[in-house]
Amino acid sequence: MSSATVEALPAHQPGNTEEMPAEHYLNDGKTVFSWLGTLDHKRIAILYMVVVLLMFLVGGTFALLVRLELLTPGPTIMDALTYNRMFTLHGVIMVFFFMIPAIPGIFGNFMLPLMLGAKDVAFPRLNLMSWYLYVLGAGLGIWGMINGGADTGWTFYTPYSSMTPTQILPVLMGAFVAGFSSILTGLNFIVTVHTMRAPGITWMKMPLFVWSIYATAVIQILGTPVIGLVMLLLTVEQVFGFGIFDPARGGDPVLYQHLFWFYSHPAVYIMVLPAMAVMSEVVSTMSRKNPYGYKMIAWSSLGIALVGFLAWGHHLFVSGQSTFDAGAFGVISMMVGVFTAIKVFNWTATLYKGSVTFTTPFAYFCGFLYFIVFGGMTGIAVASVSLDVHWHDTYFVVAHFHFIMVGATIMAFLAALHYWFPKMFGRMYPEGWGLVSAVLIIIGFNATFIPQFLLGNMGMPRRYYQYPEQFQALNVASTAGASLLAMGFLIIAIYLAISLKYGKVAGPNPWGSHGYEWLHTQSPPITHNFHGQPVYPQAPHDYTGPVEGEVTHAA
Amino acid sequence: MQPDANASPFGPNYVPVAPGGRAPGGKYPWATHFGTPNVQTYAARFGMWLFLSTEVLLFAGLFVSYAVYRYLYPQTFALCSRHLDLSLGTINTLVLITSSLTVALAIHFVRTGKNGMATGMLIVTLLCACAFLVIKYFEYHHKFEQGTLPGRFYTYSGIQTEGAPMFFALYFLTTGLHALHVVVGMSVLTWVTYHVVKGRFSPVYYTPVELGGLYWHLVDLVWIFLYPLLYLI
Amino acid sequence: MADITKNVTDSHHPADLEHHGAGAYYLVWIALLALTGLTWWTGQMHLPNFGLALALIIATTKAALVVLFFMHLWEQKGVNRVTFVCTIAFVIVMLLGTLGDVTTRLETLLPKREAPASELSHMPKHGEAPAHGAQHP
Repeated sequence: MSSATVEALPAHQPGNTEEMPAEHYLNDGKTVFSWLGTLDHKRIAILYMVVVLLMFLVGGTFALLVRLELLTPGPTIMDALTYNRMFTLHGVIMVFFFMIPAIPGIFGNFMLPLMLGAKDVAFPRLNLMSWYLYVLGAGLGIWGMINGGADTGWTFYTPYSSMTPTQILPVLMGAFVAGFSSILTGLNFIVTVHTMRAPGITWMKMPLFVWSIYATAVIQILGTPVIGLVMLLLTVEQVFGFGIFDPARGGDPVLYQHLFWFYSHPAVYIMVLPAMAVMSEVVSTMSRKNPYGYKMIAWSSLGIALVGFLAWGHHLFVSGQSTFDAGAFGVISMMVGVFTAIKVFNWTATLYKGSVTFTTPFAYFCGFLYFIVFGGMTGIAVASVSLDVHWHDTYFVVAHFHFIMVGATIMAFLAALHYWFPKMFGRMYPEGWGLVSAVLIIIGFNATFIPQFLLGNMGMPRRYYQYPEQFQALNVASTAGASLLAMGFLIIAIYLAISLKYGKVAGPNPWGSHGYEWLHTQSPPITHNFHGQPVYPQAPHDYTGPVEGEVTHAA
Repeated sequence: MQPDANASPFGPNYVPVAPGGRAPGGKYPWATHFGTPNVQTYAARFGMWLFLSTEVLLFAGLFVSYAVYRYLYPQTFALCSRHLDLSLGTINTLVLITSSLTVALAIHFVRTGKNGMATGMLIVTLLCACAFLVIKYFEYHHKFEQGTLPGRFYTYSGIQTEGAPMFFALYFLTTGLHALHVVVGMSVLTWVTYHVVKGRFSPVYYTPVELGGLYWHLVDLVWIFLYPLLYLI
Repeated sequence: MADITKNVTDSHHPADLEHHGAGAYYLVWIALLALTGLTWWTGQMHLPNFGLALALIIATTKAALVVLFFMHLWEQKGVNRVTFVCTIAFVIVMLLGTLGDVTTRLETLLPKREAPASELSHMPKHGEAPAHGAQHP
């Protein structure tokens, strides 16, 4: 029924870009309820941003405390049980309440409808509900942490988790509820991609960000219910002692690990795929080139989502899993490397002969490329059964997954924050400070985790409160790196907070990007995103010709 | 051309509303961020299928646990299975299958404009659901009396082999989670029945009835697998 | 330009289900009842080798009937089918990965196995009190 479609309006009102637009989603309603009861995907994204950043602060604080404790070989600032709680809560908060919701919750929510030429996501009320569930989950988690806190590590391995004296129930329930939030977000995004695409946006013309977020949503739908069940089973174990995973009652603790990692391995891709999503956008815009190998990047996202589900057994190499299964899972795990490499090569090829602007998002792209290649290569190494027997549960593994999952995700999170800051808030951040903090963070991250690679290779096990004297120098280096990292985040927080109010007004498209989200919207967008129904005759990031109605850009 | 609040481009049966808004008298509440009401129906149905897919995977974790322990304790599982009340289990299967039929008929009647018949069918469905839960209660009660309970609560002296408490742990977990879904499904169908009576649904707009029905069929689907796996080893 | 102004998300899938009479529902119901009877009957034979396989085949047939006709997947082409098939595929993946481990694991790494089948040889009928021979020595 084409009667519903509306003629495309001029891309944006040409004219004064020195002033903020008079009407935008941020000033459309100023009461508390207009925020807490909003159905606007952009406002929900901002709500997510507030809580996600808060969680990042809490999780980061725990990380710093852990690093401080490890400054000296003996007890430094806390006792052993407190230390166990600290690394558990660091893991739980960073995984379930920061990295999983961060990019989909904030940037997925904000950008998906803008990139699809839609007024909103398919189910706006479900969207708001998923934020409330997330807040409830985070609240439960924090409440549990104040009331004793869990000391099991974020993996809650049985049988220890069913007999620990600490209060793990609230933390379990927090993760359980946050899982529902993740499911609803994924469901909403999948339906949105299927039903809300504007005229002109066929499947093979969707922005690559959308493709990756779509693949993420598939994992969220298929994986998250299983972790929900696992959390329920653990609760039953704790409260009633059913003995499902208790070897004394004929249960198999390895079964717990199978079920847990069936979700939690793909969950790594819930964190990394959105990071890849962001980078596919940044690299095209900043090098002013059409994405090289668009189809390969798009399909490899789905490929990662698929293979991610077939690889969970590589977490169980030394847990008593059968040799046959270990071999099979080890081989399949290598395939993740193939799909990731497809993306890495395509991004690099996109840069080739591009007209690169070295902005802060691009600096983070460079960091991202480094972390994903090195994190990925060490991942291939630990997916080899014989090597993993040596490295398992040492700091090598800690450093590996911080490189691939945290390094890559943080790089993308910060890149997205800077790249879309003008779109979300209508103002620019200071480029100089942006680059300084990017350098600080990338160096800080390396300084934190390269010593941990070395420590792990020397045999220092993870999750230990004390260590032999000979490991101290590298531990001090790691803690120093962590403080550098903290310094970088502090600088970002300060200048972005100032830019919110005093930053230079950005105008609708400060990067001169041909990405869909920049074309037909003002910055910040109006409540319903577009005046009329936009039409997209060209592919996203098509830099082969000028876009109709494009204003000259500042960059 | 923003959709006008008074005139819908799709005719008088389609009322433009805000997301989640309602339309009077069985008309279609078209949430205007969807291109057309057709797209909206499609989105709702697709969303429901995705949700059902999460439900299937939720139960899948339990089925996998069941498979592992049945492999480890085949004889004990057979022994314990024969200790369940087969006739009650079979009756419950028939009850749920019949309720699945009536809910499918309810959707059919709403779509053909026979709201009275639809209401009747939904009430029969709810009665079946109640019957199912009552029978389940008697089964549970019997097990509590006998001590065929999960894990450390297992006190039954008749079967003392390794793995028997595990069978009953899985029995209570699977049927318990399923019963929880029965209760949720009953709440959904009660809500649907109320709005069918109120005349909110019609041949033009019956999406919530259909989605509620889909959920109920899922409850039936899970039981179709639980019945042979628990009662007929 | 002309064709892209058509709403791409609308033209592909008419949302309304096919209208047909209620007769098909009754047929499916009768088939489901019959299959329940069949599985009840064969289940009590306790066929030693393919009892489980037969029960699962019957259950899958019943599930297919419910999904295809009661849930209308027969008429819904496209994405809902893909969703359902993917879901089942991932359930099978989870099952295979886990069973692949348990069935090939070293005996000593498994939780205690039950006593040899000979000690459990007497299987009572349904409802019958189990013999005391079933007790672990």
